[in-house]
Amino acid sequence: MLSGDYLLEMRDIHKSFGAVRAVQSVDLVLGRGEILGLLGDNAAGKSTLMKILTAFHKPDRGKIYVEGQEVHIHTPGDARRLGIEMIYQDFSLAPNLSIADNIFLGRELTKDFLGMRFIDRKRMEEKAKSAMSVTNIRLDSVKTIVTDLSGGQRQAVAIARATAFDAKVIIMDEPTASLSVKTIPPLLDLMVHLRDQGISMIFISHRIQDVFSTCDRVMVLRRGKCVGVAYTQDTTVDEVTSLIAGTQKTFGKNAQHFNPVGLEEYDA
Amino acid sequence: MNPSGFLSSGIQRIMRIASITKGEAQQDEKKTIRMLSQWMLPFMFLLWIIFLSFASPVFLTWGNLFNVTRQIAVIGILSVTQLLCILTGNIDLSVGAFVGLFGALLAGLSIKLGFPLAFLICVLIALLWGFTNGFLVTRGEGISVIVTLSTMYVARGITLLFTEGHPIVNFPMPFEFLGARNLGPVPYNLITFAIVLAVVFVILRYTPLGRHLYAVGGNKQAAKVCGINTKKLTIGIFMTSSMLVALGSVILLGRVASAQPTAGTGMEMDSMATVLIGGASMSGGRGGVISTLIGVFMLGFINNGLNLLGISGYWQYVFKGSIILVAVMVDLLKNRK
Ligand SMILES: Nc1ncnc2c1ncn2[C@@H]1O[C@H](COP(=O)(O)OP(=O)(O)O)[C@@H](O)[C@H]1O
Ligand SMILES: [Mg+2]
Repeated sequence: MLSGDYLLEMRDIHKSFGAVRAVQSVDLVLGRGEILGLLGDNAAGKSTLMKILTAFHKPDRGKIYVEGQEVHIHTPGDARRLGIEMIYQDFSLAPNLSIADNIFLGRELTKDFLGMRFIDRKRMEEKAKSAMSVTNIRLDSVKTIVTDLSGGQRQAVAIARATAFDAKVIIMDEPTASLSVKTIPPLLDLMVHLRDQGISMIFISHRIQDVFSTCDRVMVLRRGKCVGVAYTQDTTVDEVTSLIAGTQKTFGKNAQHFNPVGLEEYDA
Repeated sequence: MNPSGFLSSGIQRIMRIASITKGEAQQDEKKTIRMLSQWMLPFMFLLWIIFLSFASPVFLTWGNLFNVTRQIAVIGILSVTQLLCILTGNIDLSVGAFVGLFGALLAGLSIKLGFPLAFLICVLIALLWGFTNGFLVTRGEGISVIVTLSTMYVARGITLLFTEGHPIVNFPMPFEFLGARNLGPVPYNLITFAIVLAVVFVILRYTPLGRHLYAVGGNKQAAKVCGINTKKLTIGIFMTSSMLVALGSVILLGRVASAQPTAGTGMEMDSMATVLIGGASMSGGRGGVISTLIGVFMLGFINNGLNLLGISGYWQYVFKGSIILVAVMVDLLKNRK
């Protein structure tokens, strides 16, 4: 169960775009080796909240802690160095580069020659191969250019990129939205597999069933505000659906024993 | 291998072939189109060479080939510059005008201040020029055309004001050898061009920076999320560009021994043509040094051929424009989904 010793904490996060209050006073905590489902209607603020973690947006207010230490994430590179990886809906791959080059983009393995750093292709390709093997997707070669890959294969590359560097947190923003249905179960299996290896994940999806089958906890956002957090085992798909739609204000008694905010303990 | 193992691996192979889906077939088709479009222009070029060697008795002489080769250094260096810009999804239309501006300033200031001080000032101006171009380009998406078209006008205007429309001659020029002399049988300008080619080739192929340049051109968002500072990179490219253009300008000054107010006119178009003929993509992310070099030779032989055939220089505009259009259309075909 969740202890006070969180891997990641976002406290009192605010973000507005002009008059649109995309995220208002949201607290999010993530334990070690857990999958948190982040749910909410369109425009609830899920992506905005996550993009604050990767420095895509700068929060108007709020603090972020990793392993209890306050961190300042100013660039996507900062997020990566903290072990926070995001898998984007479009996978964010360079289509003109090979699988190996994509996996190592921005953190290429190099060897020195005459005082200059050159790419160590051989080592990158070897490591890319082993990173790809995590995903159980069969590929002829890690030298293949990403343009020539299918959607599922591209996602595998994105996952390999996220897992190849000792990630602590992997954020998946609607990873199944652009995939064919048959590729979803392997992805969910993979998520559970990674979780069992100690990687924490935040999973955004409209498929509530998928969320229930993988996530340890769920957090529901509505119009930029957090309306509830609960252990999946303590709630039901119906209840979560009502929360998302706004027909129920917050989680019922069964799920209430999880204190979503925890600010009091934190400040004490 | 035992027979049954052989059999089962054979069966596996057949099953794999049978399982090739429609999607994979489409992928194959895409690859074929890519291959075809990649070789189309080189093939047309080959036809042109064959045609020329029959149509003109002097075309395939050493004298003529050497003549073409010694003229490619300046446009070659500018093409490498343009390649870097186009790779990252931008374009630098000011390269030609800046050849003129740099040459005029260097020549004019050398007369007044002596060469060393003038050279220092001009190099600083070139860096500032590149920085300004890059900084403005990174203010928005896809605005490099209009930004560098504007700075091209600014550069040409300043050049004409500075020279009052007259060529500048009789200036001190220690680097004259770069444009006018040979090392043994090889012109210094070709050596310079070869060095530029080699350095850029190694950077693009073998360094992290090279990977980042391709990534920015291929998918800027992807580059960003991988922690690459795309703005810094773009500004760096434009500053490198202006330094290389300055180098081209010095070679030109040495070759013609005068600073012409119109020097470099049309070179933005030529450099774009060579890069695109070489198979680079206007949308960025595709292209290379070798194919650009091929493009440089192709353009050189097209100009040379038209001269040898006695075709009016005016036709060259028509040809160059058409070639760029064909190259862009081929590029679109390649990108077809
Ligand atoms: N870059 C942006 N500029 C302006 N408004 C934005 C931007 N990103 C998101 N928004 C707005 O913020 C709100 C939350 O969006 P988002 O976080 O994408 O929601 P979700 O991912 O839950 O569907 C929406 O109203 C959206 O229009
Ligand atoms: Mg979203």
